[in-house]
This record gives sequence, C-alpha cells and structure tokens, in this order.
Amino acid sequence: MGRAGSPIHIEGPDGDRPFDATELERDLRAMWKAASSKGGTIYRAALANLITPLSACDSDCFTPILTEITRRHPARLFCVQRSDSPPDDHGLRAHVNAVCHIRPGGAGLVCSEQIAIAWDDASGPLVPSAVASLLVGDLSTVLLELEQGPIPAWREKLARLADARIADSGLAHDPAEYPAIWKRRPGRSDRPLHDLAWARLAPWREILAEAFDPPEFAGALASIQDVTIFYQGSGPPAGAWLLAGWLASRLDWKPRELAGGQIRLGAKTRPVSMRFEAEGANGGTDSAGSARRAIAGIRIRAGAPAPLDLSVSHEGRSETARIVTRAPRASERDVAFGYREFAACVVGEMHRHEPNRAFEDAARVAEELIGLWPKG
Amino acid sequence: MSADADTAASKPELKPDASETVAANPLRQGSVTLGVADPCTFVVFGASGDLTRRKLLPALLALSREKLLHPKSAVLGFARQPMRDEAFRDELRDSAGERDIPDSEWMPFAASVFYRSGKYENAGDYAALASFLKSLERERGTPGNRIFYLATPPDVYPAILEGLRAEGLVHGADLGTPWSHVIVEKPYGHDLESARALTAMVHGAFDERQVYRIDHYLGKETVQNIQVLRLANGIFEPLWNNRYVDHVQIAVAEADGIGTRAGYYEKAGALRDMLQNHMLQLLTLTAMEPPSRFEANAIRDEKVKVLRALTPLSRGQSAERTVRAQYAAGAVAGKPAPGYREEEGVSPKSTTETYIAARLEVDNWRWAGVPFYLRSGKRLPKRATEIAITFHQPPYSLFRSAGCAPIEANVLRLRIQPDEGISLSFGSKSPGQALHIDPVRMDFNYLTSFGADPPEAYERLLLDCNLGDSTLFARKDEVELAWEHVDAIAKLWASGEGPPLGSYPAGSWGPAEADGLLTRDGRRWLRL
Repeated sequence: MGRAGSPIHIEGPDGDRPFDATELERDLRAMWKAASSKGGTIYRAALANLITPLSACDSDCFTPILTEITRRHPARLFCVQRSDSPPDDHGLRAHVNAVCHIRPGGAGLVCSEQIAIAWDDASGPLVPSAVASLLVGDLSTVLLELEQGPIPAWREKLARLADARIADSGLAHDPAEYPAIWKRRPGRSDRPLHDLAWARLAPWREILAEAFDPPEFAGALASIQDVTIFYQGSGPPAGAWLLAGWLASRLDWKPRELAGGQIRLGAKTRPVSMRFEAEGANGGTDSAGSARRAIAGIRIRAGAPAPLDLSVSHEGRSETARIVTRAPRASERDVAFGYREFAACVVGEMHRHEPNRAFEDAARVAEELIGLWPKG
Repeated sequence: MSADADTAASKPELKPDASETVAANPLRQGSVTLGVADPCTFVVFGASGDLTRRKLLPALLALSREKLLHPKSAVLGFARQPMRDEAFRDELRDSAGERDIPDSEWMPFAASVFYRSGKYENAGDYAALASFLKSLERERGTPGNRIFYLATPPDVYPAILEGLRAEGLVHGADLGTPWSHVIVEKPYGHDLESARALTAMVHGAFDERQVYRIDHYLGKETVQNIQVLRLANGIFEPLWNNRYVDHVQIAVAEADGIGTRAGYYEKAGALRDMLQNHMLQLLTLTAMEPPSRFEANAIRDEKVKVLRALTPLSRGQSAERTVRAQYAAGAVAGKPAPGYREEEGVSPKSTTETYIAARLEVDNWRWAGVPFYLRSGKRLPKRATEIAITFHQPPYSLFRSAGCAPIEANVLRLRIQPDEGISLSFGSKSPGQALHIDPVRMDFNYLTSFGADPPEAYERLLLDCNLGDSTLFARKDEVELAWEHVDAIAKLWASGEGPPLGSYPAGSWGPAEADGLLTRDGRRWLRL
C-alpha cells in the first residue's frame, strides 16, 4: 500500500473540555457534519478501537506512528495522556479531532477519529470508565502500550476493556522487565498479548525456518550444539531473548545453568550452549526514536552426524539478510528480509485475533533464560 | 392464559385498518400518507413532571412543526402545581432546547397550549377541568376528540380515571367521532394481580380499544424496522430461525443511576422496571412469526404467541438461568458514581436488583434450541440498547489451514439507542498479499443514510394514538402474559430459589455471574 501524502487534521468544534461522554459524541457528530459540508467525500472509517496511553515525553515521537497506524488500519483512537498542567478541578479533560489521509487514488479522505483524554493523579482512575463509555461496541478493542516508565495501577482496568493488548518489550531497557510485559493480558484470558519485539522477529524466524527446510540441513536440528546471537546496543535486547526462547521452545531445549558466560540447555541428544555477543556498531535509532537495540545476527553450529555451521546477519533497515554457511559446505547468499516499520508491526499484530501460542512458548523459555543471566 | 373476551382482538378497530381503507376507497390506492390526524385535545395529567417536560411537550411541538397535528388541536396540562398558561409555555420552550424556533412556528403552537392546576383527589377540580376543556373545544372548533395522557405516578390513576368517568369526559368506544383515547405510562402494575386490577380500573372508564399502553421503546425507529428488515427484504427472513441463528442477545444498558426515582425503583428493581416491558417487548418483536397483515391486532396476536411460547423457569433453573445484582461504587463515563445503597432515598440494606440477566427460551418450531440472553442494568459503562442476532459459525474452518484464526461469528445488530441503525459483522480478507481475515461490518445508520435523525419515539407514539393506530402499544393480554413470566421469576427469587444478589462496580458491564450465564454455554456477551 503506497503512501498517500501527508495527513490532514480535522479539529473538533469545542477544543479541550471537561470529559463528558455525551458532549464528546455530540462534538464528533458536529465535526463530521461540518467537515462533510465543506464538500468532497469523507470516509469516516474504523476497523477497531485503539487505546494508546502515552506519557507526555512519548507523545511527540509516537504521534507520527499513530497517524501511520490509522492510515493502515483506520480506528477510533483514544490517546490517553497525563496532563502537563492538571486542571484545577482535577477532572478528566478531553477533545476530539480526526486524522485523515487522501484515499489512494485521490478520491476523498479516509478519516479516523481521535479522542484525546488528559488525566492527572486524581482523575487517572476514572480513565477506564471514560474510555468504556466511548468505545464503538461492535469493533474489536486494542490496547497499545508504548510508553515507558511506571504504569499506573488503573491500567489493568483499562486492559480489561481490550480484546488484545500490544506492548513492546523492546522499549524496556532492563531484561528483568521483559517477563512482566510478556505476562500482560487483556480482559479475557483467551485473548492475546502481542509483543512488537516478537513481531520484529518474524523475518528472523522465517529465514531460520527456511534455512532448515532442505533435507540435508533439517537433520542438523537434532544435533545443534551451539547458538550465538549477536546484538547491537548495551545488552541483549528483548528480541534476542525471544529468539533464543523460540529456538529452545521449538526444539525442546530446557534451560539448565549459566557457565562461562553461556547458558547451557538440555536437549534430547546433547547439551546446547547459547551465547549473546555484542557487536561493535551502534544501531542508531528506530522509527519510534529509541536507540536501536537490535539483533544483528545469529550463528548456529551443529555436530555429527549432521554437521552445520550457519550464520545469518542483518543490518539496520536493510531489506536483505546475508546467510553464510561454512558447513556442510561453504556458501554465501542474500535473502529477502521482511523488515517492517514500527506502524506496520503494530498493524500486523492488530490482525491477530487469537493468542499467539508460539510467542507464549518462546516468552516462557526466554523468562527462564533471563533468570539464569547475571543481573545488570 | 386464554385471551379475554374484551381484548381488542375480538372487536373491530375504532378505525378501519389501512388495507380495508384502501379496498373500500380506490382513491386511497397508491397513497402512502400517514392519514390525517383528527383535531383533538391532548389532556396531560402530570403536566408539571419530568416526563411531560422532557418528552411529551417537545414531541407535540415537533409534530406541530412538522404539520402532523391538526391545526385546531390543543394541549391542556393538568397537575397539582399552580402555574399560568404563559409559565407552562415558557417551560415548554425551554425544554424544547431550541430557543431559535421561528416565531412563525412557535406562536401557533404556544397559542394552543394551556394549563390548569388541581388536586387529583378533588372531584371539584375535575368539574373545573371539564368545564374548561369543553369551552376550549368550542372555542377551537374541535369535535371533542380527546387523548388523556396519564403521566403521573400510578397511585393517582384511580382518582384521575374516576374523575374522568364522573365528569362524563370519556366518549363511548362505538361512537366513532368524537373519540376518546387514554395513554397509560409504564409501570403498568407491579405484578400480574395489580396489572389486572389496573386494567379493571381503566376499563371502568374506557373500553380496551381506547387504551394505549405505552412502551416508548416500541416507538423507536429501529424497533419498527425489525419487521421491515425481516419481511420487506428477501435475505433475512430465511435466516431468521434455529437453522442459522445460534443465539440472540437483547441488552438495555443505562449509564444513569436511579436519579430521583428511588421510591419507585426500590419496589420495582430491574426485573419489573425493564424485563417486564421493554425487554420482553423487544424479544417478542424479534421472535414473532410474520403477521397475516400489517395491522395492529394481527401483529399483537403474533407477539402474544411468543409470550405463550416462552418456557417458564423451573425451580432448579431460576438460579442457573437468571442473575441479579446491585451496583457498588465505581466510576461511569469518567465520573465517580456512588453505590446503589448510597443513593438518595435508597435503604442502606436494600436488596433491590439494579441489574438482571436471564437466559430464556422460546419453545416453538422456529426457535427451539436458540437461547435468548437478556440483560439490563443501571450504571453500566454507557447507555445502549440493542438486539444482536448471532449466527452459527460455518461448518468447516477452511482458512485455518492457511494460518487464519477462526473469526467471530456473524452478528446482526439492531441498534435501538443511541445511533439507531443496523450493522452486520462478517470476516473479510484484509487488503494485501498475506491472508489475514479481519472482522468488518456493514453499517446502516439513520443519520448518514437518510440525512436525518429518526423522530423521537414519543412523536411517533403520540401521533399513532391521534390516528387511532394501536400497533405500537401493548395490549392487555401482552401485558398480563409478560407479568406472568416476571411474577414467576420474582416468586422464585423471593422463595430463596433464585440466584444470590450479586454486586458489580458502577461502570462495569455487570457481575461475573452474568458472564457465567453465557460462558457455560460457550458464548459471551457482545460488547455494546
């Protein structure tokens, strides 16, 4: 889907006001009526309710991402943000607007309505009820958690409104925080948590799975002895742990101990060693503005009877990855790497309506691996 | 229960129905007019009350502005509170919320609005009312047609009905013109016995054919559209049965608490306040067979059949198939809300339910095996009423092999308020190379399709009463059958056979027990 120009914003009629669900719905109707009366075709589109709590410092960098998300997947967007200047009456405040994109092909605008809700310490616990009063009932509801820092206690009530919860463990800096993120759940236990760090692993998992498709390589899966995951940044990112957890959960390896800077895992046929190694280059920043802490490569070695030495490496936003094989025979080739921008990852997860068992299994093992890793 | 001999079904209508009119008068063929409203006087008892101010007078004003009332018609308010005509008119203009009504539309209507005060128990005040009414009719040149609207608490109905009877203000049902109709607001009794007693009392002054028991939900455009959707389109009626429908959910959610109605609500609770009338009416309209003619009694006959087919809950089933709960403190729509027992006028030990959910079954050929889940509560996250028909899942999940999770079942939602409309959800392939199936909806909204909001329910109902069309009003046997079912549940609850009184925080979607009602069946409540 090609880009269709810069977004166009339509402002609601009354600007910021004390939260009143009835008045806000009225504002929305008035906004659409006014916009329609100016001529041209406006499509008021929504495929989901999307709730995004943001801290003030996050909002600047995430606003373009949210705009792009609504371009790809129109939604009624709830931006829930701590107020910079708490109102005197300590109530919630809100305003409505819409972000529109020129329809691909140029005929008309496709618009997503946005409801921005500002809270302070006193009114924060009222946020879930405020959001609940404005959800579009027959659309799925997604809670997108991108902010960093402490999460208020009432967030779980907000999560109970959601059919799916999307977080990004990649935004946390301490591996000890990852498992708590992976255990977040929306309101119903049969509904999914999606982790964008997992979503970004998709091309890695695809390439690795494909590498073992040929029969001569498939046999090596049972004789893998050593896995090294290379990363950029100050420590193994969440994605590296999930990649390790994914391999271990798929191949039935059990984390045992940390020895000599590597984690030993028990497998059916032989022990497996797993290492994380930093690469020198700084990864720059990602599209969410964070310093990139990314997976740079992976090397997998297997012994007899099916020896294998396979490396996959990828840089930045490159659309290809390099696969280098040293055993059973030497080869090098570039393969397509399905790198996706941040908004595309979010939208990809919004399409998933069921729990992701592969992710859950990977996260469970990753947590065990983190538990063995030295703190700090 | 057998239909009583005096139900309207056994007597001719006051006015011939539309098909008869067309057959008798070739000039009517092809006509789609509503008919011409006779000139009449709307006599509103309880004229200083909330209902009159918020709903009735604005509805009459709207009908007048749309030229749907006869220009000679008048409104005569009656209540205890002393007030002059001018003050009553000012109140009306305020409550209409449209100070910018053009004088050309406001002045003729205002000139037709009058007010008289009096005590409901005082026979002399009815004599004064009668005298004024007759002089008003003479002055305006109306033939004496009257609609009496009982917008008072039910405890004053006996005095009003006796006053009307004693003063000879009610014309006989068989006279044709002038005619008299009475509109009775809900609650229509508080159990079967009291409903029958009320009917006997009303029948002391009016024939059943003159009685219009109002349930304003029936005036909602979407409710009327249920029949149109099913029976004017080729695609829905064939699906409207247990072969295709998995279950039906009927929800009436209110964000408000009880306001100033604690005295009434403490005695009624959600069971009597909502289930007996609005919810069972919606159920009957959804489940009824196509009527033989689009005519009041043919439609009401079919609704009655549904009520007769409702399976009564047995002792063991009451605890399993009904849920009752009361709201505790919480937050609704961004504002803190007190618990029910902390509301003004409510006993701190009250056991009145503010939430009810029930699993009912319509035991007939069409609906056997299709549960109807009903829920209604106060202080829920938002105000929303809808009927949702969930269809069966396809027999085979073809796309699972392509990595697609099974999508939600198709749901046809009839939104009754707010945003009256209809939507159908289904799975669709998302644009792109990958095979993703996302739930999408086809949405019909009155405002966007017709460019106008549907009229307020009271407008339609008041006009129908003026036109003598009782299709959207409940008949005696409907009301009594509904009470039979509600009484049975109330008795089981009172005997200790029912579910314990649960609790839910204000602003939530109800107690966990209500979720259990569906999860036991492998289903869940749809979000409103």
